[in-house]
Amino acid sequence: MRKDKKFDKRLSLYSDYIVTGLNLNGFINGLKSRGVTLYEVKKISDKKIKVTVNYADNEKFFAISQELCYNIKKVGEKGKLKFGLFLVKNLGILIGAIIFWAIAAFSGDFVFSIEYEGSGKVFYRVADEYFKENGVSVGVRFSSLDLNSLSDGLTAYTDKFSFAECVKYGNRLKVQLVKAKEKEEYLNSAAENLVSDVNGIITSLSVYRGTAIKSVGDRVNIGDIIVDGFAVVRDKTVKVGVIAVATVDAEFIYEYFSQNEGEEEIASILAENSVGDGEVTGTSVSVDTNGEGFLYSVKVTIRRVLYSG
Amino acid sequence: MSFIEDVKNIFGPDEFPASTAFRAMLFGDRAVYVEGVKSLRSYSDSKIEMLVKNGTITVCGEKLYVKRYCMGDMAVCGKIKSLTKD
Repeated sequence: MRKDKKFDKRLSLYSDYIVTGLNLNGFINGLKSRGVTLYEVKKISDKKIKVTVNYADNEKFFAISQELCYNIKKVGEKGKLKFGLFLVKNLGILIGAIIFWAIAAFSGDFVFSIEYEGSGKVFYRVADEYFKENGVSVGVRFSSLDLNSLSDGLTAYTDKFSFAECVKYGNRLKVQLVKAKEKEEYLNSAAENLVSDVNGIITSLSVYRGTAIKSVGDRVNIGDIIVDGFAVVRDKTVKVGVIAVATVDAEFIYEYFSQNEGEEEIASILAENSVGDGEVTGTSVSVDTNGEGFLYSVKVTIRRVLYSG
Repeated sequence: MSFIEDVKNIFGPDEFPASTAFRAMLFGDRAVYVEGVKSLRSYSDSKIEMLVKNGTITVCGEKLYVKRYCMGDMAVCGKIKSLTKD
């Protein structure tokens, strides 16, 4: 069986045509005599045949068809290299696909934002400092970070957090922070007075030793003695060590000024962070503007537990 | 050994000369391969006539089509009913 030397079957790319005209036998013979190999010659009607030629013979096929005055219509391409030809003809699609792949493959590796969650979120600035010291910021690549080490390091960095976890969430670094509980202390019977260190209202008072000067519902200021270290025993006043616990609801007003609108949440977080120890029981924000910017007034209510002993 | 060589050995040089004007190989009733085709004389889906040296080869059948035609070799596929040489 003679092989068509021009055509390498491994290339496998053909073009299909519909040829219309009279004396189609002459057309087929004309192609053959000019060295064009024909494949899949099928008669559609008396004046119409479908022909498949090697893709490399397209130009010659066109030229001969025009020369012999036949109408030809290209139907399409087929063969193993058809997809490759599509890509070559639509180079823009190929380039676009490559760019898309590169972006999808690499963009997911960059940190676009750092978000804090959990009860320890109020101390986010501490976490921020730790990240800065360890080279973690927006724009850094996730592949250069060891999130487990980062989590462990953050927990060990400060006693404000009992737990910290850093997790990749898309392009966001989510940091889960759990605020550490206050340390338990044993009672000290040598303590003198129970003194308030905040301005507020006493909401509960338990006296185990000593004499209560204030009672539940009383307003106290900083420095006021709530429980004094004396007791009256058989008409005699004796000095005793105070063992007592009082809970005071205190309010703080924090003011924050900014050029930008809509920073209520930032103002709240800063206010909560600045009040120190105590459980935050409520926060309210009011905004005032004087044309130059926005003044955020944050009223933070905290529950402060005072104890002596 | 190739199929052609086997055939040559069977027929011998008298019946199977070194050079022949044409060769036609029929594969069941589904395909025929002809070497030495000079030109296509007529073509339809029931009859294909091809000119060879010293005559015409006619393939009759149904749904016939030329699978490949180049440099004097033609492969015809379809339901072949007859192959004649005139």
